Amino acid sequence: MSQVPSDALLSATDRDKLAKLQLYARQVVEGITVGMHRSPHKGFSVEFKEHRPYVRGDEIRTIDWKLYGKTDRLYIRQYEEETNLRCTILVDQSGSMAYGAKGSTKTSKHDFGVRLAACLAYMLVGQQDSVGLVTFDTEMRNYIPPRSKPSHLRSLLGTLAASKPNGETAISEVLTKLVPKIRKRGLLVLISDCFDEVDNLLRTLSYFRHARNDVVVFQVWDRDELEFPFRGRTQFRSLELASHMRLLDSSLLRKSYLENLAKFRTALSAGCGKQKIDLISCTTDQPHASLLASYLAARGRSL
Amino acid sequence: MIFLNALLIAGTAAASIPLIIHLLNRSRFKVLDWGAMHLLESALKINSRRIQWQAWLLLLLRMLIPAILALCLARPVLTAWRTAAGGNQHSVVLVIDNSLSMEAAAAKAPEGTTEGNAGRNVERTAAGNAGGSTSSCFAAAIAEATALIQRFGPSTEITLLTSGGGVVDQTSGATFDTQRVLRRLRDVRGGAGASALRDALSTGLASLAKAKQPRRHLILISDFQRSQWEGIEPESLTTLRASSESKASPIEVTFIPVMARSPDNLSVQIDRPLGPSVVTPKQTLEVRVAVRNHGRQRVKNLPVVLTADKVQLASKNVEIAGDSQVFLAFSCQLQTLGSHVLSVSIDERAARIASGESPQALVSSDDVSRWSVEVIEPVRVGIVSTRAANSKLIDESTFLNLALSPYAVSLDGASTNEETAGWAEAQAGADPIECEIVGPQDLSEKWLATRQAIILTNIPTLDDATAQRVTQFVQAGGLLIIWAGDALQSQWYNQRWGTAAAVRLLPADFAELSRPVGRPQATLKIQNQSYEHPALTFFNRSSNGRLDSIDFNTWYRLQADSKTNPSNASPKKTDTEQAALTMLVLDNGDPLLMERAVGRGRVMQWATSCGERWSNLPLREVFVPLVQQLVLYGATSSMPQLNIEAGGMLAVALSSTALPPADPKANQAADKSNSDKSKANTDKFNSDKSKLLPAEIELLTPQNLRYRLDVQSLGESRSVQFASTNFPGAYQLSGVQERPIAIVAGVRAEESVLTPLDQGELNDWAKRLDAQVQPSASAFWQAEQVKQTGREIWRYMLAALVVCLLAELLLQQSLTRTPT
Repeated sequence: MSQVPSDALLSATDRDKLAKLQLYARQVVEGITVGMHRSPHKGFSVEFKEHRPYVRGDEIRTIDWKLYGKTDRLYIRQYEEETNLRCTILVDQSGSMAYGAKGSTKTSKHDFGVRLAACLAYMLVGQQDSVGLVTFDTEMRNYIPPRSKPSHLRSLLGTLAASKPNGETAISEVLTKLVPKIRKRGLLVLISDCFDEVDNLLRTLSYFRHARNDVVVFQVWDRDELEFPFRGRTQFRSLELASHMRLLDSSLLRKSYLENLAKFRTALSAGCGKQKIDLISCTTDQPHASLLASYLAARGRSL
Repeated sequence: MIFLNALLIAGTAAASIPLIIHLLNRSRFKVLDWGAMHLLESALKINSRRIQWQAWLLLLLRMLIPAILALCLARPVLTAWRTAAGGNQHSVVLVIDNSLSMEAAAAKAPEGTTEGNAGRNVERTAAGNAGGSTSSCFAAAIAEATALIQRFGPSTEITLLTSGGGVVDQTSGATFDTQRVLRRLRDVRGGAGASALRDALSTGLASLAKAKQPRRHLILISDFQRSQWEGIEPESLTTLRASSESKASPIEVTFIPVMARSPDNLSVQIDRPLGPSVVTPKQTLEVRVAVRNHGRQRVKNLPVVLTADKVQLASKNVEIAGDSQVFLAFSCQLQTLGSHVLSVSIDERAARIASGESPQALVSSDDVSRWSVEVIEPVRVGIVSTRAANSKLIDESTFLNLALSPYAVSLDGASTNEETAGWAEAQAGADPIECEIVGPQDLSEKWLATRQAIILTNIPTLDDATAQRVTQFVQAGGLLIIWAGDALQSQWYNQRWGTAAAVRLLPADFAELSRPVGRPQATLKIQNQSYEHPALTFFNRSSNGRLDSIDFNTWYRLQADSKTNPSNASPKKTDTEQAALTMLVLDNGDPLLMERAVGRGRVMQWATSCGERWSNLPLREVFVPLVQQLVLYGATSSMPQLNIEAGGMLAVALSSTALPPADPKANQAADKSNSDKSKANTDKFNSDKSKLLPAEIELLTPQNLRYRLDVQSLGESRSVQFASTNFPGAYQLSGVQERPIAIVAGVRAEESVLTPLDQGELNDWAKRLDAQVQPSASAFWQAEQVKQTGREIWRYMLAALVVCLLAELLLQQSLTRTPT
């Protein structure tokens, strides 16, 4: 596990990326949260629970003086304590997430995931929630524990900007290793293409669910992967394992590929539904704002 | 397999084009960095084998398409289907149905240019009488036959048979001269009598059994009328085919149907009375005519004309609804002695044009029906009775006299009445028979010479001289009818004329008297049956009288000798001296009436009396026609049969006195137009008989062809015969009597019913004969080509090509289809 990158460790390109990412995240999030009221109470919950008689040792400031004026007795105002949300964002940086980057002007899946993660982090930190970050491929490459300080955002974005897709995918293994690190329950956001064994993946996610964590999976697709628009003979070279390649007639394979794809998505969707995991499929050509808005709306409905 | 365009087989090399394209494409591909390899891999794992198989199948189909196209253009011929060896060496028997039903308009016109020319030729000659704008079935048949013959090579021997009114070998056996066959074919005429199909098939198969060429064909071109085939036993055809089968070179039978377009046809038929066609000059002749409309259209104003010897006697107009018939009756008197041809004709063409129908080929041969009637002097009969002359007593002779000459007897009583005098005068001589009642003592030689028949009614005995004279009378050609009775002395008859007598006259001896067993009042009747004896066929029509209505209570048992023929078979001419025929039989099997030919005459012997005590015969109305028929038959039995079926044998017996003086020149040359059959007859009998032959016995056929006929002798009897009566009409025989004898050949009414066999029935008959049914000559040749050279299969390959194209399209679609 690498340490939190500092500005010194970032290259000029990475810094440029970071600035752009920060700007992009702020634009997206502010676009969503504009008009929302900010609470004047910072660090406290505002939910009133009950009054209780003052006893020695209670903080003087918790005494309800208005009630004392009315009743001539000392009562303490008690509030429902509201803990901050602890969110851990897991960003897949395996080779398969690099699709769409080469020879194309469109966004790669990884870039899309990184921006999505930045937006989420910006939004959560902005509302005083703790946000942590994990980037991984076959191993956990970076781990930043959740914190809610605004300065924490910079290190999150820096790590995201510096991540590069590489290597094979082993989501379930990484998640298994992550389980002991997340002691308190919170929100787990997985941004990945989920190109792993569906059963293994679901089993691992179920650990987090048992620990009463909320789990949200953003499954990132490129539109090519969904439509398979290729014709003629094509050599498919694996992005994860360079030695793995196949020379095929795409036209002949399209039918069975799409059948297989449908099966895969159905299995994942059904498994997530069963474990009450929010699975959000998104393609790289979707705007992040609308994606976040629709996600928040869905969360709002479910709470 | 052989190819007609062998060079085009090179086009199959085009099959390599898809392969080359495939190989070229293999080396051209694009590289794609791909993330979802696991989806690709699992898709490959599941479908790679199927996809690979389908891809190879697609490649195969794409290679097959140009290859099949090239093969198709090369016109392959599958020689494995070649079944016939022997090349172009054929023996062919061509049977053409030229019956009158073939004159009907054909359902289809003859095809092809050369066939069309042939069709026009025969239209002029054969079907010209129809005169319609459409061709007849016969013209179509000739056209098909011409087309067939023209394509047979020079090494083909052909026999041409026509089946109308009997089988006629038009080419006198097989010939290699195709041109001669074509000439004969042009001369063949339609409108003959009913088609003798079975005989034609039998003759054809027999002829082919002797043929030497390796390929043998029997081809029948006919309109396949149902009425013609209904008369044939199906099993007989199967047997016929089996008997002619040869393993070495089987006979191939082919039917070429030329069906009539519609059943529309009108026909007329004289309803000839059964029995002898004789009439006396003063007798009124009733001519009953049936006019039939076989079609569905009503025909109005159809003129029906009666002519006698081409002189019109009467005319009527009739209207006939569709599929029905109208009966008409004409009456006329024929004055001149000798044979006369009565003909009734209808003008179908005029009636059809008047009805607004378009003229087309019509069956014209059945628009006229002929009947030959012999006008004779009244038959003079002597009734011998023991009753005293001028006696008013009623005995057997009275009944007979009344029955034989009813008008004369009536007139005897009516002549005194002034009111009926005119009628009596008109009816005088209307009886066909003149009777005179005499006693046994009056049978002088001179008197007997004036009689044609004498009837002995209950005569006990005759003296020797009279008996001798009666014997001579019979031997000279007279008819003797003997009635039994209570006075008859059977012993005398048996001894004098019985089976053991020196000169036998009686068919059987009189044995004991018999009566019905049982009650005293019991009677017996005559066995009810279909009478085959020519004198009794008259009673096969019940309206002419019922013989089984008579009750008999007493009769002599007639004891026939061993040579008596117990059945009612027709008399055999070769055994006329000896054979005795039983004409009528009682219910208990006892003979009632027997007949025997003696010399040139004949004797009829009754077992019972013609009085009213032994039976109620004289009191029954059937008594009159019965005795009249017996007398007329006996008196006219030496006359020729004047009305025959077309195709039947025309035979006229010659009496020695009737023979004209011999003329040896008559046998030197036959008429140029004689048929081969009559020629053969001429050759057969002109060797050593020339001295006996009469001069100039000539026959004029309905086609105005003259034949010189030769006399055939068999024992003492002489006759002339003519077999080629294939065409209906009047045949005039001159040189036998002073006046020519007119003999009419007619056609059955069924021939006018133009209903062909349906396809199923035709196939059934074809199956029985192991025959092929071909719609035309060209179809026959196509099948023949397949048999000789094999079958062209480009059509099948073209179908395969289309299938390949479709399969390629479907497979391509299936491989690239996107699941929804």
